[in-house]
Amino acid sequence: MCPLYEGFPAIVYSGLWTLKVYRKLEKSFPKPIKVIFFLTDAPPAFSVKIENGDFEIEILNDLNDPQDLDGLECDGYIALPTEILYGGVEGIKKGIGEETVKLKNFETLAILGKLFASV
Amino acid sequence: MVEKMSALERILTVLEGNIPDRVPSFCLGGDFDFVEKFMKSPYALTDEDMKQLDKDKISFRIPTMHAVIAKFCPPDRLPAGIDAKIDMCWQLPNMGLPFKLDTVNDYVTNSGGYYKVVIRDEGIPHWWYAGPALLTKEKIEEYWSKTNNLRPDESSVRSFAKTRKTMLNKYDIVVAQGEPGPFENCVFGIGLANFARFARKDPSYLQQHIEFQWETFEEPMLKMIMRTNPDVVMCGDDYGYNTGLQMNVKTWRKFIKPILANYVKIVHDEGAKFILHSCGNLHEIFPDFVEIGIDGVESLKPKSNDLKMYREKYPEITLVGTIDDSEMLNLETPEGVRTSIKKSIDTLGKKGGYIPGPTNFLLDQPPENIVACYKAIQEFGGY
Repeated sequence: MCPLYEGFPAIVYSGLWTLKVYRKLEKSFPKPIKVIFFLTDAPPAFSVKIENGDFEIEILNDLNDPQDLDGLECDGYIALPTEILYGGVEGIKKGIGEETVKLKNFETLAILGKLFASV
Repeated sequence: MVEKMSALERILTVLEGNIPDRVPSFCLGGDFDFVEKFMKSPYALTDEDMKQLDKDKISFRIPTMHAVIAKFCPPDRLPAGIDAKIDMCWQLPNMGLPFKLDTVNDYVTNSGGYYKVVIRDEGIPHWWYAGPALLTKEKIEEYWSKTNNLRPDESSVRSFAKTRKTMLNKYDIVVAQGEPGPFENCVFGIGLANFARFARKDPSYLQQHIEFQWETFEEPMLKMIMRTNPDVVMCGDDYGYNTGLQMNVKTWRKFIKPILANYVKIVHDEGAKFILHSCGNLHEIFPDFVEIGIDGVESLKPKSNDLKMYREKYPEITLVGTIDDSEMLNLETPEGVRTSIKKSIDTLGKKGGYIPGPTNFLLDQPPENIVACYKAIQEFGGY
């Protein structure tokens, strides 16, 4: 048996799956949205597309540099090292101030928060 | 005839060694597979249920799945409830965020172990303990230097206490909160092989590690939980294999029993009851459970334990669980489950001291069997 996802994509998938199985995904994300998550010290980056109560994850094996995020079509992204992610909200805020977190659209943080809260 | 009791009165009456209005029921929780099956079954949470449960801020998180457990309530608590009441369930507060050890070059949990999240090929998530990280003294000693990362988070404990109170007041369900015990915390970090090696060749080092974990996060977490005034605390510490203990009984008595006795004392000093969750065959240490005053022991798979003997020889201890989750609840028909529950209650519950429920987290059992289990406890549980 080969796992579909491991690591950070699997954590995010678990949150999305949990919301979907309880039919809460559409309520949580009423509008279609596409965001990219990138743990800079634990690639690969991946995109999450949420639409009509369903979701898709796509692994972005070719994305190796956070600077390349600007060229991708999406509603938001966040690139950060694992230790900042595990520092919680305060750690991420600090990381934004110190520019160790690269963020487009603050809603991406809210999405991450909702997914972490459901797992 | 005893007047109808609340779930809390029922559970406390049993744990105090008295006879309640009926046999209470217990559910540890359920994993992702069970929640998926349940939500595809005729018993699934309805939009109306979800609206009420969301309003009450009931947790949908897996594996505690309080929302699913609330679904088993009678309609006076939840209008579309299944009426197969679960009286008590479990919850572990957050034990802190993973942190990095340089000697390991990876992130570990507060016990010093790895947890892994895997999405299986059929798309269902799976979270589980993946192995010990502290395999050398160098790694163990770096872990000892990380006390800042190991301090428990009181805000998480307070938030979970609110959940506990809502579950009790709105849904008449006792949430037994707790934390992992000393053996699990120790072996999840250093591994069972190191535990056995140190116990034999370097006992003072093993003692030092166990005491470090007790002082750094086990005792502080337990005291935080007790400050929220729980009625029942349940700690998980798997001591058994199917056929016996994972270690020599003398080793358990030397290294684990004293710390477990500390857990029980702290809980009893605050007037609460203490239940131990431990899988496997526990017959060698049941007399020790009596000695340190444990009120109830949970799991107790019937194929691994002589439950009738426990009931007769150790009436002080409430037997919690005992309903075989891996074979009977998985393979039987609902009618077969009903018959089995009747037999269990007849054998173990006639004199009190019994809180039946599946022996572990619900995994892939048919939801209709789980509903049949709790309906049968109501049907045959009268005193």
